[in-house]
Amino acid sequence: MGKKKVIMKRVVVLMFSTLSIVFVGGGIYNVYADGSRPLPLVEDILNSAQDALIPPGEIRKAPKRKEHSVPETPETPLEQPDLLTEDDSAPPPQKDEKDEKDEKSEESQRESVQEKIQPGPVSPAPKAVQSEPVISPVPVPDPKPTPEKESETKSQLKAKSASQPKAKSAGSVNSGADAKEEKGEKMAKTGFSPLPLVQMIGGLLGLGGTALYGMRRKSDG
Amino acid sequence: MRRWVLGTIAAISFTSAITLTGYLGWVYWDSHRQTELFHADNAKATNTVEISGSEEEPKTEPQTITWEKRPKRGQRIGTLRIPSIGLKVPMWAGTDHAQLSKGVGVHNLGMPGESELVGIAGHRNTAFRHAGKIQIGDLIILETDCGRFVYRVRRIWIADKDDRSVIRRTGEPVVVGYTCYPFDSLNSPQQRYIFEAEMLADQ
Repeated sequence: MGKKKVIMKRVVVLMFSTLSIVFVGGGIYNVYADGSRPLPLVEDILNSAQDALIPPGEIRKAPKRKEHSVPETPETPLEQPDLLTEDDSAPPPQKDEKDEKDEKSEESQRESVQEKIQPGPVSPAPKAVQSEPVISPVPVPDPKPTPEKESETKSQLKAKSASQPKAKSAGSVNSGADAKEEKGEKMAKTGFSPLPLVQMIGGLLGLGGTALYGMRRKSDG
Repeated sequence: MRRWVLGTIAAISFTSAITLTGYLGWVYWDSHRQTELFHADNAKATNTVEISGSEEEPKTEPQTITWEKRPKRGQRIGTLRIPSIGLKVPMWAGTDHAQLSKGVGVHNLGMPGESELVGIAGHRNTAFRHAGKIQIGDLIILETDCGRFVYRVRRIWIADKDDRSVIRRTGEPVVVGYTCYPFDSLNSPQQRYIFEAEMLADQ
């Protein structure tokens, strides 16, 4: 009977200490993950450092390449979706000329790969631009018929919309920048929640109490 | 040996708990002190703002400016005044806690007086403690070295904290201020109380 009681007590102490540790851990996690404490986060410091490195002028410059790339790129059915995804996913502001070169080289690689894939004497990409309404006599199965049309219309729309904001904002912001900025900035953390700290305090008190209880029990035994 | 370990754990735990309690108390005391400072009597004394023109007059385009030198993060931009709630706080570039603890933070978008959205963030327990009392039609004054710009509140709403459509480039001379909502929530607030003010044509 006595042994059972000791085991029960140990289980209770273990549970209590585990709960306390979980409380403290949860509090620390909330404090740092949620940013509800008034101490600077590591990510905030990194963000501020990053912001300091990138002047706003550079961010505006980056999307300029897209304006040029829209008319230049051939309207092959396989390349257009690539262009679309590139525009939809706003590029990070760090992208500079190096990235531009990398992307260009990637595009050229893709073109060469597509040329390899296309069977036999199928006309190359630039030809398709010149003779767009001409339907090829060979019934080549088109894997993506709808994205082609969508991309065509979208590229037309983008070309139109690109000229409109230019006139509005004195040429400082272009279509690429608009696409990026539509997303907007994340709102700052403007409130202090005491709950994680209270949780930590409760956990620490529980842990201390459990440790004291264990100490006392040991001395009694 | 085991007693020594347990005793150390107990001592560390209790000391940490007491320290955290003290820290929590200090945070509350500090926020209370700042609130008193921001909503001081001198701000209440200047509750009326002289602006030329009236609402009946036909609307003209507000005169905007362009900041040649963008302020760096942590640099003071000017002073925000909302006479209707007796608020007068310094504005700082950046929206980190370092800036919000000293007043209100301004996003790196438009600057006061520019033809762009000026995003202003403030703590709900200090600068924007009385933000809930702001009403449509209230005046918001941004005083900077580049000039004094008066805005009028035209819209108030509540949005999710992750809503990125609030603080974005619009090309319109507006001020968007926000703070955490609900104002008295103990949990980490998931919403933001937002007010939008348009620049007045007649300053």
